[in-house]
Amino acid sequence: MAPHLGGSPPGPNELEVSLFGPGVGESIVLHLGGGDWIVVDSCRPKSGDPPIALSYLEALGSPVATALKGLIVSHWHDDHTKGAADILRKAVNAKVFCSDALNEDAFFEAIAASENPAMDRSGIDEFREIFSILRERDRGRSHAGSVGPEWVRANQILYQRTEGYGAPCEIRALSPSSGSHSLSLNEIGQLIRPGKEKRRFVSLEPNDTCVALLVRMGSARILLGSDLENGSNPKTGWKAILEDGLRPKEKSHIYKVAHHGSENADDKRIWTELLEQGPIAIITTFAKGKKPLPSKEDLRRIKSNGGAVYCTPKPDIDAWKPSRRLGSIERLTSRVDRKRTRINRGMGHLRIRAKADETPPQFRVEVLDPASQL
Amino acid sequence: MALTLRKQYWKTLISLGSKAYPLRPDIPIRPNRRTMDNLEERFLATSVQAANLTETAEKVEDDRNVEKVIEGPVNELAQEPGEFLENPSQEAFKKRISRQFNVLQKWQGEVQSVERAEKEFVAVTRDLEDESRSDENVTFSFDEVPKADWSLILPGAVFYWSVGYEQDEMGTVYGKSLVRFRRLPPWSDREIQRIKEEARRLKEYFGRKSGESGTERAL
Repeated sequence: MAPHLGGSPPGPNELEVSLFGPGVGESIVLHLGGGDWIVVDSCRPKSGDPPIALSYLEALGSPVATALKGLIVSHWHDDHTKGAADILRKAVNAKVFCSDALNEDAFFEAIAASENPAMDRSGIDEFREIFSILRERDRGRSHAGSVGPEWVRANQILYQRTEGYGAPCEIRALSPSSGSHSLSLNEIGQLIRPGKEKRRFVSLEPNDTCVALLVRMGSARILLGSDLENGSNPKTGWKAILEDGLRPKEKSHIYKVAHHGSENADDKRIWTELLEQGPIAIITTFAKGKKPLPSKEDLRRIKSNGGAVYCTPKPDIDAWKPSRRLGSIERLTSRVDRKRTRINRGMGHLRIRAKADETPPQFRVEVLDPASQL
Repeated sequence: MALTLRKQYWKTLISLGSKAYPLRPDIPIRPNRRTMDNLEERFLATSVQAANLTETAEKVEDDRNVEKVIEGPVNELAQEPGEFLENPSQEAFKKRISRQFNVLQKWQGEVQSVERAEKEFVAVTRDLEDESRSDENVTFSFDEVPKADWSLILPGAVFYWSVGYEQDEMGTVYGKSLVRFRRLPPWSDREIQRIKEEARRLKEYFGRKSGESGTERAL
């Protein structure tokens, strides 16, 4: 079974937001009219599979090389970057966007360090591939570095079309704020020191460097929260966005819930000041680690804001049981592991479409199992 | 009273301290070529007699008849501790029985979080035998890890987890789980220097150029 909803591609004046999530990882594919596509983050159905965004676009018959206009990598965590380099290889005309908060020595050192075999599968190695591809493309051009990446800050416009295909269209970054300086990069910097043991990069600090986006097409508006969290600094994260006097004041109809619905990525003011009443909330799960997200409390809190809530895949904890192995292996492992849960449950797909010229926009939601409405 | 053949046999083996025990006393024995040369002839003689004994033992019901044949050489053998005996005539004992760990399943793990107070950690494990299987979250106790590796239990640390059955020298079989952390040499000054140099080149090439506001590069 294909890991995505097939069918016909969206019409030339039709907006589409497709959210993919396999258990750990997420990818968003946006259609902004006229056959123009943007991909935000990347993941694979399984290790070794092509990135889901590519598979989906190819299944719809879209010529990736010309139709994919931009690849936005909202932050460096591997659940949002897997396969991004493969997308860029095929999308030869796409621009790459990433957070300006990564434009730091520690990040470039992490990329250089990721060449070491000890740092395999660290997530940052995907960025190394991306930079390698960009450098290849840059060869022969008069201005070095002219193919990107574009370093994104709050209130920067990444994509804009003033007319055509039913309605004007715009993608604007809401973060990172100028105050974001990546505590997580400090963590990385501490790992790469003489005498320190080599370890993979694992971020433990709140993520305030992500690129959160506001997408507008006609009267429809979508807030994509990435993994943006609230740290202790009020000049970063969601607090900075809410206090930003320059941000657009229109409220969004669809919200890709930040950081898998976790409590420290939530703020009551997001639901009252950035979103319409009863928005469509779409969430991806994060099944790694001790506390999978979203928890039952997270879902209760999100649902209390009203509106339809969808999740990919289903966050049902009982369904995360690992698949059975040989009896002898089960007996041996049951004596060791205190608790074992499966991470990947198969790729779920949520697709939302609306005509750009409808006011108010009429959203049509399609769901592919294991995604579901909660 | 002379010992029965069986008791003599075990007394000999114990005194010799051999690691390879032919488990049946009627099985003929012969010397290991790596042992002392001056015993070789006597061993050979013993094995010939023992070979004859195999046939004889099947016919003779009375142990005392058998003792007369083997008593002498066996008593001599008992004087030579530490010798290693092989029994090549039996297929199962051609090789020395040594400790073996038969691995049934192996994973690579990466530590996600550590609870030192509770002495446990959570890791994501990847099946090394079947890549199509989903990764799993597994909670381990520190007790599953050799104490020498406890200091390595940190977020991002990589380890290998194997489960299977181990057979010891006596042939006893145990279920076994083995968690070993990957040990890599720490970052050297030279490596850090190379990283910083490469990072400087990357930043010079890809970093935001001074004067760019970031608003003029829209698609």
